[in-house]
Amino acid sequence: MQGDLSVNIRNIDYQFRNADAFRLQINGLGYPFNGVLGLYGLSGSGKTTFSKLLAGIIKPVSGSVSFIKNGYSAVPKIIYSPQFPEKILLGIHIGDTVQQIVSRNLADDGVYDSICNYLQKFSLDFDKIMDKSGFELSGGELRRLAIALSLALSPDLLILDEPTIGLGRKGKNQLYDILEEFRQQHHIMIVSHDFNLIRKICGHYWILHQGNLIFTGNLKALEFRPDIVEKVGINALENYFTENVKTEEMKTR
Amino acid sequence: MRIRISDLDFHYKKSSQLFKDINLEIPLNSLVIVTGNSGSGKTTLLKLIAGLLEPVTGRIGFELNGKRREDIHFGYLFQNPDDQIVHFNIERELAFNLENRGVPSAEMRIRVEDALREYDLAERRDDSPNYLSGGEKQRLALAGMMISNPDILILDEPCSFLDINAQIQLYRRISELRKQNVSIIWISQEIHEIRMADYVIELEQGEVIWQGKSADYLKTIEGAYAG
Repeated sequence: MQGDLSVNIRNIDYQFRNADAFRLQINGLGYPFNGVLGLYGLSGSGKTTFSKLLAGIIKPVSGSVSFIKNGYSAVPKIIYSPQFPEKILLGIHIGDTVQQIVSRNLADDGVYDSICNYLQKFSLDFDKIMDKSGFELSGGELRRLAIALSLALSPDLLILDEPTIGLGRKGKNQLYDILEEFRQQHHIMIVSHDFNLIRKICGHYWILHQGNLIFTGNLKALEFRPDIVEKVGINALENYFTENVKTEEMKTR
Repeated sequence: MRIRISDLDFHYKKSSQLFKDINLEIPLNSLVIVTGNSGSGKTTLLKLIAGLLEPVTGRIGFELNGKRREDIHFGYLFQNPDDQIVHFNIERELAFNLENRGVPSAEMRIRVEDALREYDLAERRDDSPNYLSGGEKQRLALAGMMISNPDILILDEPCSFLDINAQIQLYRRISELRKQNVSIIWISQEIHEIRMADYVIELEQGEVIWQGKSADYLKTIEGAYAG
């Protein structure tokens, strides 16, 4: 394990400069990372903004986010893998992009073996894609490349924003296997609007609603909060399909 | 009513062959799902159909209510909404498609208002799309496409960034359109979406490995996804 890691959030407030409709406000929150953490919420609830604040990519207007690593206050290595994987494309070819990301993160040459290794687990061959432009890769291929790069950089905390979009069934299963192994050594946070994904991989959940954190806890604790389950639509899809089947049945009777 | 693809060859510049000798008929006036693993050619096939890419050789012909190819109005929803959004303001973004089609301004105003309400964007009408979340952007892109009532809807994983409420709204809308026999071609890898379709095409590494009624497709894969 890379060591114990906990986060301390104090009254953070964040707003985009030119958009009044959205505001993220998180009061006090202390959390020791343990197992895989899931951040769930509807569209526009603030998931991506909150993740970027945690990763230090953006700064809150007020309040603070601090970390304690192995008992000492520290700046941990956090990698945020974006929901739009095109955002990682920096160079003309995939090879350039990988080289730039590796050098920006001051990673050693061993990281290339690690990238190839993770790509292989995702059925992608680095040698075959390195000379391609990013726009020749499919959405799913780009996603797998972005995730493989993030894993290879071996962060203390890996934040994956909507990691399964575009992956398909095979890619999703490969990702689950990879994360199962990766979590033995690293802390992981999954950000998604898909609660089935969160439920499958994560042991602890944070739920955001309209810029506020309305729940922290595990599945058992969530079962005691039917109001929250309802508010953030956790069972809505299942209910929609069951209702549809019932209506169809009534019609055929 | 169908799309007929004959002897289609396609590859991206400098890349190896993706499609070779594809012959395929896609029924129109129905809901067709194109499925397959990542990199199998789903998006490329749809871009070829919509005319966003040109075949290297081969032909894509349309039989749709006697319309000529150039009169068929495609609505294409990209996998990544950032590829679609052009304006700095949500209201203008919705009007863009109608402006380009020469819709009179009085009618345009009504349709933009309807879309803002229907797609739950009214509160943010003056915001820049840059400040929307991934799911909200996808909802805006969808609204911007649907606003001009296309003849053929092409949806590339339209639900990927949509949250549960927006997904259910989209399913309702698609069921409605399907009842009205609107042609929809939809890329999906989700079983519950395949259940909603009339017809399924599965691609694997540039080859069509399955095509037929969705009920039959579901039977063939039932074993693999039991439970």
